[in-house]
Amino acid sequence: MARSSTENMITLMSSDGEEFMVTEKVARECTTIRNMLEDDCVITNIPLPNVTSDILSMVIEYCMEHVAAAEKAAAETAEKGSSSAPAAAKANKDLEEWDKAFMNVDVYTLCDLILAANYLNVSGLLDLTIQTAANLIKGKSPEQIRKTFHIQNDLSLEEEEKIRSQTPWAFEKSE
Amino acid sequence: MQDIHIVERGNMDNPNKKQRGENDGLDIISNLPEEFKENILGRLPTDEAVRTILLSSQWRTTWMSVQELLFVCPITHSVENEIEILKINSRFNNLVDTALLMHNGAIRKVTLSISEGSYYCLDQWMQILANNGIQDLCIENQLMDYKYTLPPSFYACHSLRYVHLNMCIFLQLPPAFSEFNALHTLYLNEIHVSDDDFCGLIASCPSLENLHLKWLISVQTICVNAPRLRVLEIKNCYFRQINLDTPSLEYAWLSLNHITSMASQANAVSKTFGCLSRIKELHIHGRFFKFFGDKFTSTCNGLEILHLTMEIRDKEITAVLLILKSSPMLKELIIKIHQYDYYLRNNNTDVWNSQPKISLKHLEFAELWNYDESESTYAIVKLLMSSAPVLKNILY
Repeated sequence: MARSSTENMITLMSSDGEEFMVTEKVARECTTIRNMLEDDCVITNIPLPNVTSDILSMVIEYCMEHVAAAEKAAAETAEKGSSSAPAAAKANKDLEEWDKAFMNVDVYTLCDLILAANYLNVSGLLDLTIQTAANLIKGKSPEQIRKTFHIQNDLSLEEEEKIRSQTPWAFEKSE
Repeated sequence: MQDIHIVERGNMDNPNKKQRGENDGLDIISNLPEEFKENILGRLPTDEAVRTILLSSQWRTTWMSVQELLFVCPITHSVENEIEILKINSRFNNLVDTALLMHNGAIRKVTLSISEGSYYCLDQWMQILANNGIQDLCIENQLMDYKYTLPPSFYACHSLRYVHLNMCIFLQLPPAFSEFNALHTLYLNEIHVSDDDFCGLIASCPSLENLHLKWLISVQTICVNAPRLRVLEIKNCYFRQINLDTPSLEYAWLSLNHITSMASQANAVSKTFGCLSRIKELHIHGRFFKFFGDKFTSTCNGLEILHLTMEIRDKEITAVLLILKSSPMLKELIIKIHQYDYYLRNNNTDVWNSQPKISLKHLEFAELWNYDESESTYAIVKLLMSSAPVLKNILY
């Protein structure tokens, strides 16, 4: 990807000490970082003690893809003088497909991404990860949900019975 | 310190996609802060969200603080057995009843998709939601059924900010109704409402910024008096008259399917265009221009985007020219020419030349749909070429 030499680079450091050099534009996708840059415009090295390198690299990948998509759309609008609705719809669909493929991760990574997206304040990614988690729960029985997320059932049989009797309608369909 | 990654698109080796074996068997989701778990559960149908109270002790109370509830009654159209339908409806009513009862936090947003079997419960549910300070409400009726009237308790929900009413709901203002002070967005889709109640409802929403009307076929006079309105969409309505008092309007989409009475129309529609000083984007479709004529007097100093559908007739052309003349900042223009009167097209080049002072100094993009080789459509192109010095692109 062509990058103009005037573009500022920012180094992000993960909790395990790995450094990632990204363009300021990509870094600004994280509202938390954007706020830091606005408070102190000469800052170029940002430690992120709450995010591990593998999760940080994913967040960066997400931000880069979304910045690139926005730049492409802007370039097309500038070139033609107007945004063409079908092209914009296709670009949106492509990005959705990309998001979907990007969310093909295990549940641990998904939960870590939720926390990182929240900490770095990347609203699109937070929405995407939360929705993905909801989709993983949808249509499943409690037992299937426990299996998916490795949840240990620590309720006694009596407790479970009590809960079921309070809300019998909730458990009719699934079991 | 490890190597610095210079990260660019495409060169990531996807270390993230590897399975992180050290976590196997750990329950991470249960230990997420409650706000995230609530956010996740808020995206599930409420019966499924409630079911999570059985997962483990850590999930016992999570559901009860979810701020968004989604109740969707199973669709019973294809079920023939009446007893089965009754069972489905009663299970759904029971679900909403108990869920509202069990819930012990604030309820910010509720989506209710209901059928006939739940009409009699709605008043009670709305009462609970009113007491709970409900802010966002979406009610969707699954049946085309005018029997269903929005219950009086709806008007007691004074904290409402966002309301979406869908499908054949009969809306009748109670006599003692005061105001929806905080309401900023209102969608009315296929709602049966009288002219007076419609006008009264809009007037009772002093903070209204977004109004979307679709298939509002019972309203004869669309009367919108909303000083803070920024976005207005009127689609597929069959009104006879429209009166807008909306000085803050920035975006408008107005389409008119049909007009039954033409007598008062010219005047009424001109009034529509009398208050567009802040408008940035305007879409006019359907048969609007027919009744518009030469009444346009407003200036649209902020208008940048104009999309319109028109017939090539003298009256319509005059109207379009008047808008173009009043919109010096226009950047984008799309004109869709209707095919209704194909044979009438050739004789009105004079009308196109009747406004010599049009100057579209900022117009960069223009598009003509259904352009043909006729003199009349050629006249449009000629007009644009001569009045828009920075036009980069013209498509037809």
